[in-house]
Amino acid sequence: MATETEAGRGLEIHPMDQFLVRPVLGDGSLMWYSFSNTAMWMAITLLGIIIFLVVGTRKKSHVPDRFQMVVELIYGFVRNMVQDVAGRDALPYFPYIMTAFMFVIFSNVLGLIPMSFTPTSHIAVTATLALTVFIAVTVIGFVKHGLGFLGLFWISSAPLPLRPVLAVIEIMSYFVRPLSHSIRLAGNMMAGHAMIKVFAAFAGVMGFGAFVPIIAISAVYALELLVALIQAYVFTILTCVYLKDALHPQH
Amino acid sequence: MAAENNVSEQAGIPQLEFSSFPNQILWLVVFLLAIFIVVRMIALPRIGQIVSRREKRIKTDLEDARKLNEKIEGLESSIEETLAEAKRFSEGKAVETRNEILAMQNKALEEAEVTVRAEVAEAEKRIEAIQDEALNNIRTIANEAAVEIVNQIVPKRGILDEISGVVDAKVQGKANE
Repeated sequence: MATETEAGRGLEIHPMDQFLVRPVLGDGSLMWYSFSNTAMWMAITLLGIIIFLVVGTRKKSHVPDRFQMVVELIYGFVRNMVQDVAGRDALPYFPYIMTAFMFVIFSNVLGLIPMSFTPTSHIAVTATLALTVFIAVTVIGFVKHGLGFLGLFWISSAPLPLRPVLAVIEIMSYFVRPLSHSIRLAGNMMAGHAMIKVFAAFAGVMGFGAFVPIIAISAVYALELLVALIQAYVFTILTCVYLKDALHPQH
Repeated sequence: MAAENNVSEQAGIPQLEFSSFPNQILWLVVFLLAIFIVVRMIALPRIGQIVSRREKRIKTDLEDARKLNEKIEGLESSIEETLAEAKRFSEGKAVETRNEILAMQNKALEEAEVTVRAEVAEAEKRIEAIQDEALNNIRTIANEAAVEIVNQIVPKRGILDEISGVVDAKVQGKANE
């Protein structure tokens, strides 16, 4: 957590301390197997997803209540996204895409609870998710199309002399995908949280003038909620786009 | 892999603290797998079942509604046909009844006309008889009056018959006019 002190009337803010990975149990040393705050909030995310998906659909009603309706809405939203973007033949991969979407959206939104921790603000987490997609998509591409998958990099609609140049650009763009895929999500999550922390520190030392940063925090918080939802959507739709390239590599 | 990190309030970006990566990746894999199992084994089959059962129910209900609609359309056309038949029947009946009434009316008129004609003829006969009787009375009165007058003026026997003949002729002539 950030600490704000007024040493010699100076303001000391540590907005990045909220992202420190610490063990929840033990003497303070983080081992690779320690049950850390990341693990704890991932467990809470899992619990939230179970409550949302399993408890929300326990009645299995033909005419859904509000809770079940939201679950079905999310189900339909992700399923249609996969089908519309990557095609019907991408539906076998829908369970993993739904898993990624649920994990990202729950992590993002739960991370907005004061004093909580956002696993998706860490590049290690988002990079693992993005690399999983990248590796899976590449393997699927080669398994489905063999060397024909390389046609993804050969723009046959472009003029012939330009094709080798475009192939180089396409290959570079392909390998940059996991980087942009992961940094986009982690960066968005980190930036908003850090900004809120900075404003909160201002509020702590401004006395009666604190209402200005508090209003700013409220506005940024609303924006962060929107960003949390949008980034989950962006992460998922990009996964679908990459999957589409693997299933239909021809330009 | 026993990366150890004495965590403290330190400067820098915690996201780039590589020693925490194994811990994060380990727990990510564990919980992502758990979420995948929940989603794949429980949630998606259940939601899929709910959605497909609802779609099946909607399809069945729509099919039932379509059949009922067809049945209603059949009933409607049957009702319309019956109504048209009833209308035709009632129109026929109305024409028939009107003709019967007209015939009865004509017959009654003809009968009334015959009765009236007979009564008129009888009345004319009666009038004629009364007229004849009146004429006779007038002739008698006129003869008597003329004879009386002549008797007062000329008391001669032969002329009386002549006067009576003239009076009769005059009265007869007036009556014929």
